[in-house]
Amino acid sequence: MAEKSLEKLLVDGNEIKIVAKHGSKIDQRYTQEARKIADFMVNKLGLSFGNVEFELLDNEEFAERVALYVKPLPSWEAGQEKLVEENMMKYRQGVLYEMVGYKFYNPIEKNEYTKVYINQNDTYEEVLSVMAHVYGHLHIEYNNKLKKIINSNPEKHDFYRSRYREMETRLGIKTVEKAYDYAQTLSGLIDIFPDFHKKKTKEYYSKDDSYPEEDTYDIYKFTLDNVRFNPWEKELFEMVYEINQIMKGVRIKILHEGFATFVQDKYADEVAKYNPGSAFKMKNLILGVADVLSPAQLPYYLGFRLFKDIEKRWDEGKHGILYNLLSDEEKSLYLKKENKGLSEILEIVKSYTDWEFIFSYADSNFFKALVKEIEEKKNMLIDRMYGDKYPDFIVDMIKKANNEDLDPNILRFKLLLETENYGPILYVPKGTFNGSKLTLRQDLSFLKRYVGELSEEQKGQFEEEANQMFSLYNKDTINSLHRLSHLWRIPVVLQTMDSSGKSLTLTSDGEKFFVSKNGKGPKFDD
Amino acid sequence: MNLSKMHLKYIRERGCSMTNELGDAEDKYRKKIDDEDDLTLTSTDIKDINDGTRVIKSIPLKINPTISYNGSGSGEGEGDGDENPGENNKPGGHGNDSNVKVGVDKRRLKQIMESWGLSFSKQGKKNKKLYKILTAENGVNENQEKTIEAMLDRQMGTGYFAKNGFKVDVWDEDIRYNLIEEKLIPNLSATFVIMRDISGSMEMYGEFSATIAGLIEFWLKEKYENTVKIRYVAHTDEAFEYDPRKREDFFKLSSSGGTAFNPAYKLVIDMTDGASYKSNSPYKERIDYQSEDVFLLHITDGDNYNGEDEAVRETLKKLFPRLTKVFYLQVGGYSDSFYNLIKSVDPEKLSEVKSGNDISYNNVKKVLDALLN
Repeated sequence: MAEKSLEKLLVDGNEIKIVAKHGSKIDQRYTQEARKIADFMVNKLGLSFGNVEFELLDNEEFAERVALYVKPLPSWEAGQEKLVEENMMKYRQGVLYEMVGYKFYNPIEKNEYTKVYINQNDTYEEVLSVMAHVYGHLHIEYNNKLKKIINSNPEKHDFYRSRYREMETRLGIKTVEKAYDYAQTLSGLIDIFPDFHKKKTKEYYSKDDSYPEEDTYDIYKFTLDNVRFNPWEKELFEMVYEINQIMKGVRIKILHEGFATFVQDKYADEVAKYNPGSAFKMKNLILGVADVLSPAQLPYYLGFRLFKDIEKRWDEGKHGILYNLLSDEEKSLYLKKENKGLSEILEIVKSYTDWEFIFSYADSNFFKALVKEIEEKKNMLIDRMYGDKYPDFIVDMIKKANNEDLDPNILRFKLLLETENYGPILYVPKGTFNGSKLTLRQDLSFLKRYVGELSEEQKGQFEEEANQMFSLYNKDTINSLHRLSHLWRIPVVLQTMDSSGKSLTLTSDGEKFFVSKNGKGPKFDD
Repeated sequence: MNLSKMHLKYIRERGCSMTNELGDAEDKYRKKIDDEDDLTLTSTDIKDINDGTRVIKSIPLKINPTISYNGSGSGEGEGDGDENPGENNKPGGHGNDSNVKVGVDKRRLKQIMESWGLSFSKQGKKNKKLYKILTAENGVNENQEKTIEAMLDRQMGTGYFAKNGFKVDVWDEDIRYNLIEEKLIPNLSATFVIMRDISGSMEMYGEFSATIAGLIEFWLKEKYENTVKIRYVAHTDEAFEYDPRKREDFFKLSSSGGTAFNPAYKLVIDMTDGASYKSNSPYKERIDYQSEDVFLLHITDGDNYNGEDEAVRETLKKLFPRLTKVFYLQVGGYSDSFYNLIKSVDPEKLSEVKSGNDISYNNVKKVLDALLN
């Protein structure tokens, strides 16, 4: 990278500050490097973000930060999280390179720093490469549309912690933890797709009652509004509710990891111009993360490859209606230097979520290339053999879809569900609540909207698989229903289906549960 | 008065050193693992990096249930027909193969010890040092789990583990200690004793006394977030506790007879001792001055029976250390002798004021300022 003055780093006309710290001391060397990388990100790639403070931590501190970010209250769950993270890192079972403490408002306006934690056990090249990766994450946090619907503020977590401790002192640890556990069960029922739902047909609604007035998808909120809690319980449940708003972020996981790895790779390309040795180490690091075909790494794998693919296609003009009309041979000869790759990608990370991203850009050609790559057991960046230990079922899934000429939508679906268990979409149907029982119904209508029209044969096969995948009849569900029933003090009914697609109604009165096969269940055609 | 300092007390807490933010979350986790509750118990294994199959550490986990998809994979826990899968609440498998496992909780540690042929209850020959740590009573500061971990770390770091597997061999450098931390926690409850002279000369001050007592009570409730218990003591030349349910009447009480303070203060001592004393209150609860803050308001015209000054001084010397703060409100103004006496006992703990019978805003504010600052 050319040496140039780094006096001011401007993003959208605002000067931003980058600091790297080791404990409370500023680390001059890493600060300089972090600023250089930021300069490259902002001025060459067109990224935007606010003030950043990197902090280098050892394993134990790092584990603690992670635990506090995932479980901000000082509960037993936070202790468990810390212990697991710490041991995972200590025995090198997995490496955590970075963690970004996002703020869900615009810190540029407030002139605040976003805190980023980096593992101090990493090598010099790794730290730099990870910094580049982090700027990718920050760009998405600052620009993606989803940010606007997340309403949580980690700044408040200190206050929540002290309130939680106060409750414990006053009421005893056991009492508070019981309520906390119940709140955790409920937290799977916040609505992470508020812009996703559509109205159902008329016959779905009961005519007798009028409450709730609309289908209510945020069951956590519905519980907060309608159950009479003790004041302290209500406060605790509200805290957990706000903390769990962060769950909405899972909707941009592939974008996040894919884009961050993409800019990390761009930075390695830049480094390669003057220091190929460092660049090689950086590329190796990227492949170690994004070249592993396991469920945990799938967001990196898919996102990174898809962004590389998009960059190539848009740089060479290989997109659009006219291009698609060409024959395969013509396509392979086609070249029109447009260099629109980067701008297309910046547009995607601004206004897409994972579902829209995968459904719009991962086309059959992309999957064919993936299969080819898997079969040849190498990728095109650096030759690298796939190890044998990677789970076969994802490889099989992609290969099988290709062999059987399966509708790409179905493959897209399966891959999305492998990257993240979005949790079930449930709702309290309009007009079903009269105070004597709480009815929850599973919603599967989103499947059809994304999959679209399928041939009869494929439709049958898809529904069969979907039934198995989306059935809620299991032990965890029943334990959760018991807990819900305890909270509401009335029976709770869940309308779902068994793994063969037959409608099931699970009813819990808090201790026992009943199964009826005559109830209404979810349908793809709702 | 600096209340923030005052209503904090020191407690000593045992535990491993941790930052304040997570606090004792890890201890809570350990307790949770031992608890029988409705959470699913599973575990996560950490494997030896040299050969991926040998488990070197198995961390037990508890999982909060959520309504969840079966998923395309295992289909674990699926119920058949009308059976009750909820009852089948066995903990998840730990994989009982012959792998070496080092657990983090004592129960697990005990199992491992036994699987090594070491007894928890009998002193083994193999390693006295380890036995000493494992069987230590509370009060010895060695942390068993962390010591075992450190031993394992050392064996892994030196490559011994990869070659020979795990061996019980604690070195001095492996021993880890529990640190004792001193933490400040707020003392959250308080008792407020309102002591009133009910001799005939005090009758006209009833309304004024009720106002001042009520405002101090309000102030305390705000500081202690409503966990303030109120006790009423009335006295002439003899004292008794008054029924708190008849608060209205307390400030209207009047009785003939002389005035002496010593019996009244003695009664408060009895209340803190839990001894028997004269009372028409149904509540006989002892004032636990060791675990809560105790405030005393004494409203009188200061007309103490002269002959017992020395006796009162002795009583006050015994009483004052048990109290957090004493408010002494002298109305009217017979003499300064007791006023000076009580001031001389412990000026730090006392705030005192003299006032006329005036419920104007200015006077009440003046009195409260003097008492509460």
